[in-house]
Amino acid sequence: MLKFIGVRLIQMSLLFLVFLSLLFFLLQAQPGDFSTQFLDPRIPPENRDLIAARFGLDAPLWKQYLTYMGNVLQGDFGVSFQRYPRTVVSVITERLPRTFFLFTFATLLSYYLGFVLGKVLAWRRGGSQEMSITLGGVLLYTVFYPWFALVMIWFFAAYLDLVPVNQFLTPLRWRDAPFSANSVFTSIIWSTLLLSIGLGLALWASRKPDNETQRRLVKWGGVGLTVAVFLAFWMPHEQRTYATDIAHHALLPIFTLALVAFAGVMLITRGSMLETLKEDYILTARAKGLAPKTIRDRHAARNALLPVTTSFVLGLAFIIGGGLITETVFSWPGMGELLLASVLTQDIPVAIGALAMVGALALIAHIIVDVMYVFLDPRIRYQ
Amino acid sequence: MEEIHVRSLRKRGGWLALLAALALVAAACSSDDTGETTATTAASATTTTTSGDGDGDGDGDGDGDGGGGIGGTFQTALVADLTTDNFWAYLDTESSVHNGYVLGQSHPALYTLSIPDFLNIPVLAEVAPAPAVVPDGDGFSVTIPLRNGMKWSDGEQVDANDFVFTFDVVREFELGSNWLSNTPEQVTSVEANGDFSVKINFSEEPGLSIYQNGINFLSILPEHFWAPIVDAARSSDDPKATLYASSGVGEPSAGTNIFNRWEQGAFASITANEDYYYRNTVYTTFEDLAWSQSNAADINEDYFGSPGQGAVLSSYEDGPFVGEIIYSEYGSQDAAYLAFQEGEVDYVLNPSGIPTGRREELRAIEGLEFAINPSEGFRYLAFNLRKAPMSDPAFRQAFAYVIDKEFVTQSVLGGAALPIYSLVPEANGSWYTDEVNKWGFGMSEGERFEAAVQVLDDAGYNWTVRPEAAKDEDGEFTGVFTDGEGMTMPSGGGVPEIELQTPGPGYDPLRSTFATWIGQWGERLGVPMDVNPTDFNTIVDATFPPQTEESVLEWDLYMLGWGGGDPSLPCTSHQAFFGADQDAVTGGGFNTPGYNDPDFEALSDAFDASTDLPTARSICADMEKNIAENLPYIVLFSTPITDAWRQNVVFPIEDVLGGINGFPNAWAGQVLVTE
Repeated sequence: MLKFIGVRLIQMSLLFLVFLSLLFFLLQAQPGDFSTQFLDPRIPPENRDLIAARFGLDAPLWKQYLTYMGNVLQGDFGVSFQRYPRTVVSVITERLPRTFFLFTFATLLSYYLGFVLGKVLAWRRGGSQEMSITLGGVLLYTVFYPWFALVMIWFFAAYLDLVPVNQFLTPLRWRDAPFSANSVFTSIIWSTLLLSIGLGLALWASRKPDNETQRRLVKWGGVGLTVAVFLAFWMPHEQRTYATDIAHHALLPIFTLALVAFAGVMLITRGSMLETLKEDYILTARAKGLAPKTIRDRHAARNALLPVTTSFVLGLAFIIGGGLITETVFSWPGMGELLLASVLTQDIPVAIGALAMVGALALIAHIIVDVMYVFLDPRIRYQ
Repeated sequence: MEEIHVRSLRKRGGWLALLAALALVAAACSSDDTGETTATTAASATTTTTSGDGDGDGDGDGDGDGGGGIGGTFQTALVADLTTDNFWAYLDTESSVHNGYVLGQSHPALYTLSIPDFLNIPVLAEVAPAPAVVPDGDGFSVTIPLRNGMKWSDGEQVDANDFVFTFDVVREFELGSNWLSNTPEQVTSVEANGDFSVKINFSEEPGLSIYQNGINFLSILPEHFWAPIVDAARSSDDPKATLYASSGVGEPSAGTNIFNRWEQGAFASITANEDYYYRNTVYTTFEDLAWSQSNAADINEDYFGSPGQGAVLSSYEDGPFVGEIIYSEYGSQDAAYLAFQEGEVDYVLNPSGIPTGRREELRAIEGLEFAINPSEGFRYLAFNLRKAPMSDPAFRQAFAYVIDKEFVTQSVLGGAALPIYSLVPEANGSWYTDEVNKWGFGMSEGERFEAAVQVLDDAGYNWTVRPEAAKDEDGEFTGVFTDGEGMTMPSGGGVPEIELQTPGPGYDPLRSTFATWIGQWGERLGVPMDVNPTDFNTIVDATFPPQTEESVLEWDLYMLGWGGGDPSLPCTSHQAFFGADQDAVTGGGFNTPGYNDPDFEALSDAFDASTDLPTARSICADMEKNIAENLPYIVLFSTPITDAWRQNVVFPIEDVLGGINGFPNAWAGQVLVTE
């Protein structure tokens, strides 16, 4: 296994360098460069040369490439042209928590909905419920997303006035905030992660007792305690108001994203479940007289989880890329919006940096999936 | 069993996360007393509140007598991100209009432009007009007395040392972009003569663009704030980067507002500078372009200018009146206008105004005010004068005849654009001339066509099938045309296919549509046309520097546009566009057509040398006539700028060339927000 991982890591590194090289040349192949923005009769034309020289754009392309790759190998992704002299890493670090927050919640929600519904659909195959949910899911899955997002904004924000129209905070509330939005994002992400771990531990612990009553006590006691600790942490917290504001702004984009994305997971789960339900061991389980819910959840759904898990882990990697459309429509300043702006303004270092991060995470996700398979499916062994 | 438990845990991962999310949402929906307290105890007022009376004085009485208070919040939207909070960087690598909206309200200059009339009025300088330069050794110099009493918002005096410090930093650190415009190379040095007088030294007698509209407009930064940062930058590996990396939030201001906060990607805010030197000063411009600058509240005892003659062109009182201006950053125009429609912001700062598709939608909303203003910019058709037949004036004139700007702008584009014949817009009244050659203006389609064919015929062009406009028995044009075929040049060679590069409809549907019509009219004349809608940057790469003698021959015609230049000295742009020394190949400048006309060069030199506005205006008019006659560009159209704002907002001016959002530093200090 270790040898396999080692080989894969070497392959990944080489692939990443090839990926970076392709990115560099593809983005450089765009007509014009950053200095095009300085075509202004009020500014002496030689200024374009100064700008180009400052950012190394006056060197031959091969030289720019070698310099860039040399710097990358030393962990230096350069400086942003559009936000000079901020480094690419600092710009990405600023945007990352916002995208991570939004898309992690949306992805988890969509996978949860998709998995549960897919499981139920496969189990109750042939009913009107299956048809309506499948039809609804496919409609949402295939809807023209920018239009759908705008409709969601119109309905929930403009018509019902339940949520803000866009952005991730309310400026009037934040103008005197003693901390930055990113520090609040960080607090939310960490506290939620700890909450999740706490809930997981509670559920894990609830499986230990032999007595059903004790199991329920441990389970709900643990869940209640964890949630209480979470709330106890946030209620007196100085950032609570601001975290509330961010959460309020995040509701609509998370809900919209989840609605569009859940159907894909639902269909994968449904297909996988249908295959699993044909297996002999399911028949055996039925013959043993096990409760239908137990057969569905413990025997069938668990084995149907493999493709969903693969999709989930790979999907997590692309979370970081953010959604160009989502972040633009909801004016959520994360990685997607950054990527779009950097490409449009030819801020090449930031564009490469953002895409490189997505690429690196995708590669890492692939190796994680490979390793996970060994644990999820004992039949799989890597040589 | 252990394995089952682990798997069960994994299966429940999504459920757990959902619980976590729900818990967060529960927290979000819980009571929010803390938030309200924070909002209502904000230092600079709460949400939009009553703060003015609409008369411009901010005193609440509506009588315009000045002496108003400060209050309320003006919420605006930016359609792109702010990219820096550092003023040095803003005027160099980060010189976006969006940065200017936020950062442009804090720094004085010796002089500035009055809005909406674009007159030079003093800020830190004590005299107006600017003193005359005098010979001094091998060059020239001027000494300008400064005001005593103007202070930065932290109480420090604004003085000559700040001016000298700023100039020296620009030169020492070799700052570029806009800094170059205000520190022209003809300025050899600046000196402080005590605290309240500066001496500016020139290598040659400076014209208006070097002196009055050059160094006099240099933004002045507070030395006491920046000197330690500059010292640290000086000793760093990359001084310029170190300087630009320093935050300007909280930098002392001598303008109407102080940069207060920047939450990156979300919003920025500026607060009122209550100690602004010109607070409650009333600016008045008269019909004869004389102006006065007086202080009704007697906070400052100074009085500038003299009452002029005739009607009052404009008059407004300086603020600040609102306690805070918030600039929310939106990822797109759509997002910004959506927020505007829903009342989350009072105004959208969009340099090109409200997009055509949004206007009707916004007009349906109650409680909005609108203004439509002419644009400073223009779209044009450029000819590559280095190649035949574009090098032939007759060929260009023929195109000028057949291009019916009125037809395209009014009938095809439905009034979305305005036909223009000169580079200086009509709205720039004191510089505009109507005496340019308006080829084909007032002619019918048939007359235009006939005139164009005649020009080509006279110049020696031939056709195998001569283009004709059919007439009826009464000699009236029937609207039926015979397209020319087999067109040959006076030299005898066939007219090659002419490529017209234009931005595609996705980038600019107006130009794309116009290009299609130009292509059709060219074909009608017998010119083989290839209209090529393409990427903006592709056109720029093909036509703008760097170019070689070979590469520059690869284009024939292109359509692009220029934004606003300097409205107070507009013909400096003409020099940049058509001066022989600005040739895109030999001079590395913006003269893409390769125009080289001795008459224009003489006018350009005279314009450079002019030291008074009447002379400069007269020369500028002659430059306009030269361009309209010789047609290196055919100026096509401009697009009016539409602004909309909530009725609770009162701008000091609504009618201004370039639109309200063209000059945010002119209204940020004077805008009122009423309940």
